[in-house]
Amino acid sequence: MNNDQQQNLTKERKGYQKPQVIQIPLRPDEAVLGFCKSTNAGGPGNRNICIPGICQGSGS
Amino acid sequence: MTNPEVDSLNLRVGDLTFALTSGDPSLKLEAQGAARHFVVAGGAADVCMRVVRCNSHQPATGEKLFEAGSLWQLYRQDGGYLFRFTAPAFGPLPYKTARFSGDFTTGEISLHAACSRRDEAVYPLEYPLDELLMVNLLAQGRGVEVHSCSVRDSDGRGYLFLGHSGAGKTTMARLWPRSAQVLSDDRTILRFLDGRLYMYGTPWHGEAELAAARRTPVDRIFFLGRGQKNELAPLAPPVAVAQLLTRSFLPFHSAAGLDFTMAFLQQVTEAVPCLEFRFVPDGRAVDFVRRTAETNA
Repeated sequence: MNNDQQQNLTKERKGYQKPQVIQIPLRPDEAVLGFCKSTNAGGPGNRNICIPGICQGSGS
Repeated sequence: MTNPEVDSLNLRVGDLTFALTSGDPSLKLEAQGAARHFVVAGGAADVCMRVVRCNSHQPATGEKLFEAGSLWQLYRQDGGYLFRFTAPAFGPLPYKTARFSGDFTTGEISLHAACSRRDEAVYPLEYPLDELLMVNLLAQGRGVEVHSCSVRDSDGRGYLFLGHSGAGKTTMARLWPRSAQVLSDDRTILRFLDGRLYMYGTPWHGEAELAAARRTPVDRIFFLGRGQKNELAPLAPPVAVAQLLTRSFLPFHSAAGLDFTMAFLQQVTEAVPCLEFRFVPDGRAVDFVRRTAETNA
């Protein structure tokens, strides 16, 4: 490697950035469609009405 | 010999058509709630499902892939998938099962006779089956469903506001004037068409009950938060991908589906500016968003 190549390589190198760990909160029930939305109720025979025992909560 | 088709129902959501047929004269099909806005006359279907009524369900066999609390469980069975839908009100046995082929393009939905009235029309795709089916179809190289409010303003600009429950999606949806169109106040589908990112309204609305059967290109993505004033903060691409991921609906049982979704979300952040938006819930937030888009901030 000649001097020019060495200089080009140095110019192209970016400064080291230490990896960062970030925490992102998850909402498991929302993420897996594991809860009942009051306006999108699950369960048979309902027409936008939550059935007691099915609906675990509501959310939007 | 199979029963002839006596009733059918077709819906189109996110440019995917779902065709339901019933061969049972006592089993009438009818869309419920906002799903009515997504009913179409027919045409080529992406997913074909037969709907039947039964008096008992076979016990689940095969590998259990996922269990989502008390609402549903997923099994791998005979090269396809089996969903079982349960509810405390009906005991441990499912009130409904749904079998699908491995690519989710064909299926059979079986409704337990004891859990539905014979004289009443049914909507077999009722929550959560509708969204579970969509999530699995999208993860096969098509797109992703995100927890968001989506708005097309009077100039045709598309804004996507993402947030968990309580972040302000419904509040944001209600702030927009009637000249704008809210595609959804809670669930939006994202897909690329000819290299451009589009958002689609869905039937799965929030408290504002806003659901429009249309699509529009996405110009800006905002992650919602409450603030003392309206302000934006840019997000580093890896952070934006992570924020998108936690507000997406994913097939957690599928490694290939998760791989695709991660790559898709990265594409999304490269295609459209992603910003954190802390807002005050009044009309000035709408002006702020529109000004931001006009000035390309």
